[in-house]
This record gives sequence, structure tokens and C-alpha cells, in this order.
Amino acid sequence: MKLKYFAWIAEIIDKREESLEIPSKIETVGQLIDYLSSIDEAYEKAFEKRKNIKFAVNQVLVNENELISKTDEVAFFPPMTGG
Amino acid sequence: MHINITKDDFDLTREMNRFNHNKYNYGAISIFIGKVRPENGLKKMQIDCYPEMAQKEIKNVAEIARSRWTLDKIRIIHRYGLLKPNDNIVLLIIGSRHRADCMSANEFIMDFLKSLAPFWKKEIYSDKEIWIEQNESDLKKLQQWENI
Repeated sequence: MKLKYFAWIAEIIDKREESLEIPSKIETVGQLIDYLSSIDEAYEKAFEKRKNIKFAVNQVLVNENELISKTDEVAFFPPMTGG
Repeated sequence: MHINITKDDFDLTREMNRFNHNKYNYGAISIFIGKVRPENGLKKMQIDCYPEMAQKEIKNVAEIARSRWTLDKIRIIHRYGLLKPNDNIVLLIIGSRHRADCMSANEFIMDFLKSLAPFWKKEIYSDKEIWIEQNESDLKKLQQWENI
């Protein structure tokens, strides 16, 4: 699965993207966050304030219950501040 | 419709020439330019971006604007990367037959860009760096459009 991180989340995790083998039992974005937080402290710290994080699957904004698959691109970022 | 997510600066005269290049039907043009506000002590502004998603999302909102108002042409440039105070960030040019349509659509698209387009700004001072947080009043402006 391709994972992307932006803004302060990328700074805490210290990478902007990566490809990871995710266990097949991980079915939703919320479960993916729990899984990542369990494997490394950097993810745990980045995802600590969960309500401050937004997610996109294949460049579409979704909520934590969104189903994901191995071929998806999942992105994590703070609320947007463009314009 | 032209949407460009880029690190490069833009020049208003050049963009207006491109905007007016083909045959057009508009009687009004609205232009908005967003710039890096020169806050006291601000050295740089870093704008992070998810370009693929930004392209899709901005196209979506421009299409919503087209469905709500009578618009002839839309040109949007949004920059990312490391900028300085007073640098250009965003350019939005809309042409329509009548003034009210392009002015309302301009405000609508900018309200969207502020809170829903995937860009993130970080202010860089000599002694600190601050990721700007989403502004509640910007969110309220966006919500107001749902009731119109």
C-alpha cells in the first residue's frame, strides 16, 4: 500500500511517502492508523491528535471508516490551509 | 478551464493575455491574487501540497461553481514550495457575462481553497517555525455557501 504524509505529519514521521505491506486484517483507514501507531513511536506521535488529522484514499477525502485495499494510495494530513 | 499547481511564480499580464487569447463571451472579469502577508519578522513561508489531489479537488469546485453561476472561463494557479513575504500564492481569474456571477464564483472558489484544497502553510521566522492552523471563520464562510 502506498502511504503519503504531509505538513507536520510528514515532519514527525520523517518521510513523505512509503510503500508498506499491510496485514490483510486491516480493512479501514482507522484500523490502518491503529496498526501504524502500534509498529513505531513516530507514527504513534504523529497520529496522537487523531481528530486533527484528515485522510484521503486515492486523492479523495474520506473518513476513518473508509475501506482500503493493497493497491490504494492513502494520504494523511492536517486540516488544509490553502488560498 | 485551466488549473495549474506549480512552484513557479505567475505574471498577471501574461496570464491575462492567455485568458483573453481565444474568442470569448464575457462582459466581466474578476481577478483575485493571494500573497504571502509580510507578518512582522516572517522570513519565509513554506507551502506543502498534495498536487494530484489539489488538481482534482480544484477542478471539482470549479465545476460546482460553473453549475451555480453562468461562467465563461476560469483560470486558477496555486503555488507551493518556499516563498517569501509579498510573493504571489494564488491567482484566480473568472470571466462571465455579468459582474455578479464572476464575483460570487471568485469568492466561492477562494473559500473552498482556504479550507478544502490540500495545501498547508508554514510560517518560518528566524527563531521558530509555525504550521498555520485552519481558521474557524474560514470554515464558517465555506459553510455559508451550503445555505445559499
